[in-house]
Amino acid sequence: MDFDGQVVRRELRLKALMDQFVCVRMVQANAMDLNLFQFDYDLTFAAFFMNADKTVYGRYGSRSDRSAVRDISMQGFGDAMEGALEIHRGYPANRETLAGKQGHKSRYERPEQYPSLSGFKADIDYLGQVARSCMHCHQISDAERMVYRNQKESFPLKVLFPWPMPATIGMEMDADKRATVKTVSENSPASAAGLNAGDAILSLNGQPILSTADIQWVLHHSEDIDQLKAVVRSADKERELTLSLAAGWRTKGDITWRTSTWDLRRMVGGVLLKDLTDEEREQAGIGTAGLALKVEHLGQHGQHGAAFRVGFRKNDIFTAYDGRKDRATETEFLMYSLDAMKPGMKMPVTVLREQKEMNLMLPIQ
Amino acid sequence: MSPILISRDSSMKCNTSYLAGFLVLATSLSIAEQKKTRDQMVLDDRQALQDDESWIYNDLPKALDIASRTKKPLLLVFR
Repeated sequence: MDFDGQVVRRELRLKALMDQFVCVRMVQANAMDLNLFQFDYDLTFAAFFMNADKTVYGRYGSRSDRSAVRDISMQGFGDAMEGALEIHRGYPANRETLAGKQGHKSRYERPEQYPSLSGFKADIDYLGQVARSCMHCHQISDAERMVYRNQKESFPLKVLFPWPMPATIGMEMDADKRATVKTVSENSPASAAGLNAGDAILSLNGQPILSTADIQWVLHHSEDIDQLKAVVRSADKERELTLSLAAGWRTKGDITWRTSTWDLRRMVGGVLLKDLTDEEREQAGIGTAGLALKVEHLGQHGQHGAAFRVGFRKNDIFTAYDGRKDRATETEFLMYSLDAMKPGMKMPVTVLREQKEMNLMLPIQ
Repeated sequence: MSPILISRDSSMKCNTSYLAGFLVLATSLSIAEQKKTRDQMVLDDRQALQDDESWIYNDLPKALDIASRTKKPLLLVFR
């Protein structure tokens, strides 16, 4: 589905709604106002609803895996637009409820001010290097991480696990409805709070919620231990509940689909790893409890080729790293490696290659 | 690719050199074509949207001004 194309062509019910907005197409991150436009920079489609005085009404655009369109839909986008129009009709009397939706103070006002993006200019070179001069949004995330990496500091969890999806706290959202819960996982913060499938989330932390992206905004800015007040509606009845976020809640997210994770892989030598399934483990003669991260891809050039140059090969299976042998996902491997290892260090890794164990040193950059 | 390694007689060497030259040219053209395609995609998108009165293309100040005058909210799509 070409979601962006359908929006551009104003298909289905979108036309009548979009006619009520001033519609703007933003195609570059160059010179973007980072204090205003704060959203998940790894998305391929993101939208803002805003007043002419730059007050943000809400955001739209979410993604939880390699599919760019699993978490968005024309129906959901239309619902969010209707919600934005409601807010606009109530503005400025409702201004106070929107305070939490506004951008926070950014490290830099413009992306080009990041040291690693200083080669970009404010404008696209439409008469010359068009694509090359166009900064991609995900490069802002890369640049922010490089600030920490260059100072040999660990990434804050908020930086490593940005824009948590509601599934991180146990609620899967219905992409076809406005901020409505589709399923609730057992033993999760969502189930403990009393959320049920079919609940529409009207507000979170006092902010009106138009979309999954608005929930992500609240989660993104929540603390590592936090409590969030929610107002939900089900069968025309509203109720208030509290979501309790316990330590480590953010790390349950998956970051492997993100474009910006490509640069994190560079920092661990350029390996892309995949936790073997139980079936694959059985075929390889590996138990289900231990580490078995298969090298699915290995960079060959520049810093992405660092692991290759010291002997790692595609299809190697990591069975231990830095003495750790417990089963882990690639996200967990990255979280540990990028925290425990600083640029210039080498991490001992045991790999299984053609039934033989080998000890190698993974260069950390 | 090294034509010297795979040919011993001069005619073969000549043919292989031509082949190598052709491959270099073809690769260069292919890279140029890919670059043109990526560049062209951006240019085509701009052309299509600039000609569409229902969209403002990449001009936030203009959009804010119109929204202020018409009292409409803004919908900004990042792509």
